Amino acid sequence: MSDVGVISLDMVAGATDREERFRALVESHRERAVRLAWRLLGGDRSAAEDVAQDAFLRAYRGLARFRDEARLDTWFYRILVRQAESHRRWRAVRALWSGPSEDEAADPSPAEVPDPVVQQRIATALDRLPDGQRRAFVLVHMEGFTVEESAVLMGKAAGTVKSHLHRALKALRADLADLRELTGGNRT
Amino acid sequence: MNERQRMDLAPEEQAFVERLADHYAPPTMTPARSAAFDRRLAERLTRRAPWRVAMPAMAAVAAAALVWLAVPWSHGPTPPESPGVVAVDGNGDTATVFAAYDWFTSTAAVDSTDLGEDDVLPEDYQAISEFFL
Repeated sequence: MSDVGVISLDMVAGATDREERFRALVESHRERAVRLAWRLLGGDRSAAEDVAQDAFLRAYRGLARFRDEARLDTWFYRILVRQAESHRRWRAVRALWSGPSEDEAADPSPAEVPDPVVQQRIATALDRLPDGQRRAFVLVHMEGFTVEESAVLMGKAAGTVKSHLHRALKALRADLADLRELTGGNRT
Repeated sequence: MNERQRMDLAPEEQAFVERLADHYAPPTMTPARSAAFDRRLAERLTRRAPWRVAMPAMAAVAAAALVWLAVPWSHGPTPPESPGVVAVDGNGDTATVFAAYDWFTSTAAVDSTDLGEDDVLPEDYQAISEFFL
């Protein structure tokens, strides 16, 4: 965490146990939380940061009651996954009524992203997957959670997650088969 | 990437997944962006939600309204019954109007037919009337 960040979080309150634990949680999971939300939300940077913040806020409120440090990460990411899915549903409802707005579209900046076209193709392919398959694929194959951890985060059985993974991989390979960047030049 | 999970994948699938993950990732957060994130988070933590601020006031108003409705005698002095005054709201409460009309016509009928003059005139005028008639 940067110095400015430490100072900012010091504004919250005195250095109580909860603040210390919360600061450690933010410091160690900020980057991954935003990245996971970004992937679950189809590459929307500002929405990803909002969702990550919402998850941290909820975690802060529940931190006083949570004592199982060994499972703190899992607990937090479960909140995050739920927040992301809630945001997706709410975005879908809003799009249904008013049409998609510009600020909700994927916002890869060409200066920062290697290939925005490929990113958009992947985002679209992931968006076509059923919710469970998309979540399972992002959690396990992109974020590196184990099948068991992902099952807890998703509130599903491990067998269900494995099934989602198998189907998601098959669908994505078919959908993105024309992208040489992903297939290494070999058409599948 | 989770190596335990990757062991279940064929080499070709594994390569595909790795390239997918590499291509589909946001830019790394810069220190400035991280600081901005933390600053905004701290602001949100210290700021109470508007509904939380308004909650005590709303609860007090709701409680006062309940008390007001539950205790009829506390509504103030009851206005004397005045059958001649009929309140008609903007939507035109026809039932009230008809009831008032019925009352008015029945009263008028009683005044004009059922009562004699003696019942209508004051006592002193009644005495004068008896003297001359």
